Amino acid sequence: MTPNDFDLTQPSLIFQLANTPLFLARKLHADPEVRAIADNCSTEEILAALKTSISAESTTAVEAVRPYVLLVALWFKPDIDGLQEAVGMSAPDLNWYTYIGNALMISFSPVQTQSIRTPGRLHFSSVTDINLSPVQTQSIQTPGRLHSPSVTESSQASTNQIIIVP
Amino acid sequence: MPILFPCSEIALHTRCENQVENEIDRRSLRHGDETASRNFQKQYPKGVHRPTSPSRKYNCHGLTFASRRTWIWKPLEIAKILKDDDYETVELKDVMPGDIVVYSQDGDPEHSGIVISRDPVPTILSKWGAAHEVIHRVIDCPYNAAQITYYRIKT
Repeated sequence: MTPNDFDLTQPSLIFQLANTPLFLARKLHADPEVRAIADNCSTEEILAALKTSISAESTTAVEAVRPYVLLVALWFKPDIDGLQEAVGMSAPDLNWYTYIGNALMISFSPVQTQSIRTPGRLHFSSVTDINLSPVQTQSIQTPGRLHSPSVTESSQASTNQIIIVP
Repeated sequence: MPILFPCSEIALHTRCENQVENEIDRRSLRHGDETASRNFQKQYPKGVHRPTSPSRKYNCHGLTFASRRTWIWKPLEIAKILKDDDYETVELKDVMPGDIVVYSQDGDPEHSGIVISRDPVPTILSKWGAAHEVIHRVIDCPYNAAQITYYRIKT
């Protein structure tokens, strides 16, 4: 499957509801379809799809949310290189792209892969027949969490202040 | 007629005359925008879904703080408005029509609206992202109702 083969109906509804980019990022982060893209597509495939979606003008809600979906999908990858490359892409028509990208970069933590060896179980089919099943190895991926949105903004806090002249 | 860019920023100042970053997106609706609005109407049948079409010209914060003129999305801009315009927090028991409500998640003001009644639960007029305007009970919406703050502007 390529990244464009996934159903982005639900992410497009999230995009429609989003008042702020971090709402969009949080909801996409929790969306199973976004996770499925990350799990089933390589970083290269996602980046290629991202380049195409950024350069094309979106005429549908699904096309509009696709770059953000792919950006968040890269967050789930074990190393930061793909996300870093994506954030560096120019997307002048997507006003939330850089903001979300920076938020994802800040909250990125590498995926830890841990191998757990669980001993096989002894099955007794009869008193005389003992079957020892092989040792099972199970991989558990623990992705980092999307933390609170401590994003550096270009916007400055208020500069003017109320001064009451007596 | 002046020629307007598809996306631009308007002059929007706080009481302290600080510019509030904003963006109007005047581009036409995308295929699927109307469908999404209809979908929300089905999901939230108790809300009064005003007959306003989807629009990226303004969002909930633009409705609450800028008379429906523009879209405000940066958390610091909302904080700037609340500070510069002298908003004070109000306890739920004291909330009155005319107060405003801000829904937050991890410091991100993900939604806001204007309180229009109390009977006894506050009812809010707001706009749901790029979708339409909705009058809804304070918790009957797709935003994080676990962290709600009410504000009243000081005159």
